[in-house]
Amino acid sequence: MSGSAVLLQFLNGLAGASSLFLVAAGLSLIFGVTRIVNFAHGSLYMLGMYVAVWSAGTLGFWAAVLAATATVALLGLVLEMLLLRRIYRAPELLQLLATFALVLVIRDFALWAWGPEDMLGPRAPGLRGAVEIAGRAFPQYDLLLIVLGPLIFLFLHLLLTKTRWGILVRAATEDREMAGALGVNQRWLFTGVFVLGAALAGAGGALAVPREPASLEVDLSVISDAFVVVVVGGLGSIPGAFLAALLIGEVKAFCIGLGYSKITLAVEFIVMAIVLVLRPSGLLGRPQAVARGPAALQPMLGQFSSKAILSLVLLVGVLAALPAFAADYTLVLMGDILVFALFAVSLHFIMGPGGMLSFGHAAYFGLGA
Amino acid sequence: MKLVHTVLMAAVLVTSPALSQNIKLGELNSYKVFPAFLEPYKKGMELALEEINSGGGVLGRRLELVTRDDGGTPGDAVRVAEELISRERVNVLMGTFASNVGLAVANLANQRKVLFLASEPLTDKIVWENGNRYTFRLRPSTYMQVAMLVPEAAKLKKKRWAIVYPNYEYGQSATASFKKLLSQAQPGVEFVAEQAPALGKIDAGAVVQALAEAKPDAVFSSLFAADLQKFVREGNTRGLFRNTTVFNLLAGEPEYLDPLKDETPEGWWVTGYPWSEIATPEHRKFIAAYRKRWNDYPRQGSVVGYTAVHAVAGAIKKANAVETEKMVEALKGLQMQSPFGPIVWRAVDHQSTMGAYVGQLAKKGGKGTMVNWRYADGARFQPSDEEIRKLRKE
Repeated sequence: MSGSAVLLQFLNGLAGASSLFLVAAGLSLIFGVTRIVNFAHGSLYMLGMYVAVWSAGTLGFWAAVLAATATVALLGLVLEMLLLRRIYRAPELLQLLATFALVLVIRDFALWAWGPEDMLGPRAPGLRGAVEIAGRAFPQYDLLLIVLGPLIFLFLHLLLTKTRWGILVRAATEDREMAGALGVNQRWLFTGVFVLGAALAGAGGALAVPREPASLEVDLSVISDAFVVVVVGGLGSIPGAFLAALLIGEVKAFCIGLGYSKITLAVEFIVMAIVLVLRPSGLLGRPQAVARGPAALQPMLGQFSSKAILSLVLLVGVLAALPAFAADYTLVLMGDILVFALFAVSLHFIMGPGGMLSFGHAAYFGLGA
Repeated sequence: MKLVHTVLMAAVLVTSPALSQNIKLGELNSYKVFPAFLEPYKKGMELALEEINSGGGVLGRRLELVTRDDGGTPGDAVRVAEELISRERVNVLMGTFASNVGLAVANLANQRKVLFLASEPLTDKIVWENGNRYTFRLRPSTYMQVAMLVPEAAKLKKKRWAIVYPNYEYGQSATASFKKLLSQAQPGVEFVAEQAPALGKIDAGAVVQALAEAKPDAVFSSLFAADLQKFVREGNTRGLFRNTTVFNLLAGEPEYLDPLKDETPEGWWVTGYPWSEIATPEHRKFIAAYRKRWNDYPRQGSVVGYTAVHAVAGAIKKANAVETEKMVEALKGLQMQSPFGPIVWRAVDHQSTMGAYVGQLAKKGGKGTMVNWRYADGARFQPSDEEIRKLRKE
């Protein structure tokens, strides 16, 4: 790579980092305070894109960005008050399941409202073209993104350090129960944080419109990138997310620049693995506050009653005899049921007695297959 | 005990035979994963079904379509296909979109000895390396579509080529075929850069930049859907296409061309479907019927779904039976009409000769369209029968 090629890929990386940061910041903020892993964050981003593309025709692009941000923030408000508020105390897996259900609902809504075809939005007025940098064309809009990322970071930083609301949010991030004990109204604090996070996701989606089409696959692909950034940066840390977005954006751009495009998918996870080995809480993360109260570990298996053993034996007998009289499809179905049962037991083993929430558990399943 | 109860109930339910006088076509596809292609596809299938049934059905029996979502993964697809075979007792399996899913169902069809008409998957393997007695494929394969573009590419006498493709079965085999065929047609050609982003995750700015650094004379791409749109927009902004000619598989299909609108890059060579310009009587008849039924214009998927159902009906009619073995023999060499003109199902590899339209992209009134196009008949873009027999290990 020549010097100017390096410079250009560096700028590409910065632009990519800015858009990553917008999504990740919201996710990190929400997790930091509410301890909810919001799986639907990518869906909020996707909604931001769709609303922006859809309203850009009548409002113009810049107004559409604001409209999309406001719409998604409003949706965040409704979601928090109707759904999330009820599950803050639920086990983590339940929260994941609830927010994952949101992913499906929002995707089906987008399919219904805007149809199955991808929607390529307009370019940003005033920033349609390219500027010449080191003899190569570089999109003007990417320059805007490069500036916008740090600006939003600065805004969040000031909001969190200089305002009373920000101080309360930080207190809750640090030690939720102590903040509650000191009389902070957590209810509205949580709502406010979720709305801010949703607004960031909506804005991130809307600002991505000049670079990529609104499509139904955006939600999951964005959330996986955002997760990596949040984990690398340290859960709940905004400066950490910013650093991590920079790191990952640049690593990806240079992988492509050097001709290793095939590993861009793996490389973010490699970065994550290296960072977590060196700093187990992420770049700028701090270990989570210890949960008070009795440990929530579950007993592995209760003692079997003789009745339970009898029915188990019976079940095994029925299952073993099944191929003799059941149709082919029944066998396939039973095979699948048993595979899932085995999988569930293994997940329970890790999560219950082990006390670990294993996100990558399906990977072992895939490896085995 | 509740589980035992449920299991027994399920066993009773599924073992009772489903009696039906209709001929059942079991169709499975990734409707939730690739809706842009598959919603028009479904409309095409339903149109064909209504045409056949209003004409009295086949062998005096009505055709019935049983559709399922295969979730877009080989594992789910096999389970769904198994359900269609065992519980729904379908006479024929058809459908699938992604190459890996198509291959998994083809394998099952071979084990269970059920006719499988793979309508959409483009992989060469499904009729060659992994080809089997029970699997037939409708659409022109990646090899065929690449072979249709290569003569145009060789004509330009460009020396330095850059390649970009989505990194999975389809993109990899398209790239391999292109390199092989172009090197044969134009000895001394150089491939100076290669970018293989993951499907749906192209980092377009960096990819365009990296391709431009290699200073290619021409680019061969097999990107589609969102990847293609991102690539086009970045390439336009960064001037990659100003001095390079681009060849892009599939980019002329309405599914992928229409979203580009005023970004449509002019002069690209593509395979596709210029639906508004084809004036053959069979296509006019198809388009009129489709518009009347759905109040919308057809996409490439519509043609595939429509033709696939007619192919099954044709096979049953020719076999004069719904027994699998008889239908398999009937499909071999079956000649039929399609919206693209007459096609034949090749006996040698079970590939239909349905072709594609090869042409260049242009902008008309802020929309993308194809110009200088011609129909490339799939029968003319095939390797020799010997090569195929060797691949099929027959």
